[in-house]
Amino acid sequence: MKVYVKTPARLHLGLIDLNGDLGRIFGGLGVGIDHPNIILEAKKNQTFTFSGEKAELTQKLALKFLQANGIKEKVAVNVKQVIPEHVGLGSGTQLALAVATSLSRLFTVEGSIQDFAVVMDRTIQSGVGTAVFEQGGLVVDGGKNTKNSSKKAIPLICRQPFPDDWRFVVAIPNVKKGLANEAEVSAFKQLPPMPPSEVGKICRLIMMKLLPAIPEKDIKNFGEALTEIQRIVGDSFAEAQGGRYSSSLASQCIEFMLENGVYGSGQSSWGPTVYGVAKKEEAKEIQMKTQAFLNQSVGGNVFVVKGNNRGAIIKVIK
Amino acid sequence: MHHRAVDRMQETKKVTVIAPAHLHTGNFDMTGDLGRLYGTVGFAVDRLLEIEVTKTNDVKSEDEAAYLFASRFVDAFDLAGAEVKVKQNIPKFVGMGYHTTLALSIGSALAKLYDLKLTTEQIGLTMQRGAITSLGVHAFKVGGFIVEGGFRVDQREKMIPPLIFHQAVPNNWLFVIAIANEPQEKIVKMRENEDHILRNLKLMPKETSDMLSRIVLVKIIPSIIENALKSFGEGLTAFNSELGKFWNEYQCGRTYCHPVVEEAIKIMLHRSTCACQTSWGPTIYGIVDGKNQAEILTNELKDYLAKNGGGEVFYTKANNVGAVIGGK
Repeated sequence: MKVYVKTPARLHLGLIDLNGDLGRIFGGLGVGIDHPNIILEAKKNQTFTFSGEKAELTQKLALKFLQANGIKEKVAVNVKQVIPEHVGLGSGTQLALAVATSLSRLFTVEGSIQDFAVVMDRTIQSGVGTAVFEQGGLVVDGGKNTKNSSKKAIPLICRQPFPDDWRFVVAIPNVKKGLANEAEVSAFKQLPPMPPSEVGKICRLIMMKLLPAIPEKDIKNFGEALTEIQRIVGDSFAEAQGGRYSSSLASQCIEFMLENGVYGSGQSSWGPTVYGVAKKEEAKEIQMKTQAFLNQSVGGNVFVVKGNNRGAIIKVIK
Repeated sequence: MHHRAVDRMQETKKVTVIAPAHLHTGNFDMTGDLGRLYGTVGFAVDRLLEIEVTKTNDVKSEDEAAYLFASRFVDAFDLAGAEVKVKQNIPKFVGMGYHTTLALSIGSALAKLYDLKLTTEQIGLTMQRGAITSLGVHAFKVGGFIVEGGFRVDQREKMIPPLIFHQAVPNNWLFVIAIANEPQEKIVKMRENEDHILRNLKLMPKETSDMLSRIVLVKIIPSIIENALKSFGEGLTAFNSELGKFWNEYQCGRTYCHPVVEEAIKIMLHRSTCACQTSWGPTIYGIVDGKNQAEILTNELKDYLAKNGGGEVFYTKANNVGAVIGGK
């Protein structure tokens, strides 16, 4: 028996509460996108064998899951395809959950994806990646209860399918990678608390502009809300990343996309990935223009992608 | 001929609708600068309206409001008529959504009797109910705890605000509901002015709408997902009392509609972290964990109201089902 897992990637669209005085901190908005993907296959094996991409990291993750569940048997995991890491596409959570889920099927370990996220230590900051792995779509997580330890699932508070005829134009400029892991945790700790007034603005934009725009298929209001949330969040991170976005190029690229027809734009997580939301029929042209724009400076990869409304695909192959 | 006779026999002659009352917690955006207004938080509770509707050739009902709504619907779709019997009622004019629930129940029954394919939203628009706040529409459709996202200011009264969050309320969370008699006359008068008040409402400062939105998104919603009654109640009380302060010019400068209600809120807060006035009042409600707590608080409030003008006090669980529409 083999288990095959293919994950979506995620764009992080913004944090909600960087103050925490109501008893919850962080909370985030994000969306599953159809590519890039992590694709792996796992099977029981006589020896531990980790092949393909990210073998070392995959081994660590597999051992963590097996140890946590008291499993003594060995496995072979072949990672056929990966999401680029530390660019803001959520590769860490997707890989960790892909490994955990595949092994859970091999050894019949009971548990929800949320339980596995706890086991794999993916509940430090955000529940967005876990929700995207589980079911895709546009998701809002409710943040960490400040009284709980980090070993507690972060609740999903809202999930809506991302409209079929909207696209993201995603640009990954060739600049230094964003913060991750310990550097990320420490950057969060150094941030001054966001004033409650700014948190309130973000919350109202989510509830009265961004979320209602999705069932109403109103890309203009969705995009405006997204851009505005990104500006508020970006400004509160200015100290940690030296500006509203992770680099001046990220800022320029966001502005460029906005001037060239995307309805909303921002930076995913710590960057350098930036994105714009566009109508299906307009996305291709904006992609080409943005690619040309990046080619004039540092270069990079620009692509058009659909929302992923399904989450990870898990297949057991007999 | 044979087929037609069979069809006629199977034709629906009588439809029964059982639908929940709702409790309003408040609106989080009365600024409107983001392009939408109100946004409502509230609950469906297991206090039920029951109506029976039969096909007739004209509109008949002993209930004045039922007659009005049935006529409105019959005229809108050019139907023959219907007789509406209100078998069981929810308290009227006290902020438990009697009118909206009745209107949607009648519309749904008539749609079924006359085989019209209509959504609850379309029925609401036909009945002219649920377009400003759609708590009643979603309570009717799905029940539970409800947050809706307001109407677009450019489509006022032409759309029903969409549901943006919904969650079943745990069955052990019991709503203790107190309806004081004392303020009722005043509130009935004020309700006659409701449309005028809403049209001429002072705008809420942005900062207040922002703060209210944050309480809903960061405190109230995550708490119900995590089954945390204490912080859920704290969030509801903070949200509702903040709104009470905003509305206080319509409540003689008070956060709640009447001194009797103010005192009842204090009694509630000894037993429940939640104590809210629904809509204009006078209905208030708290939420407690389990029957024992519910009975203690119910008795305390009964004693208090008995000495202060009387009123009704009861407890019930939430309604997590919405309306049940059955044909015979």
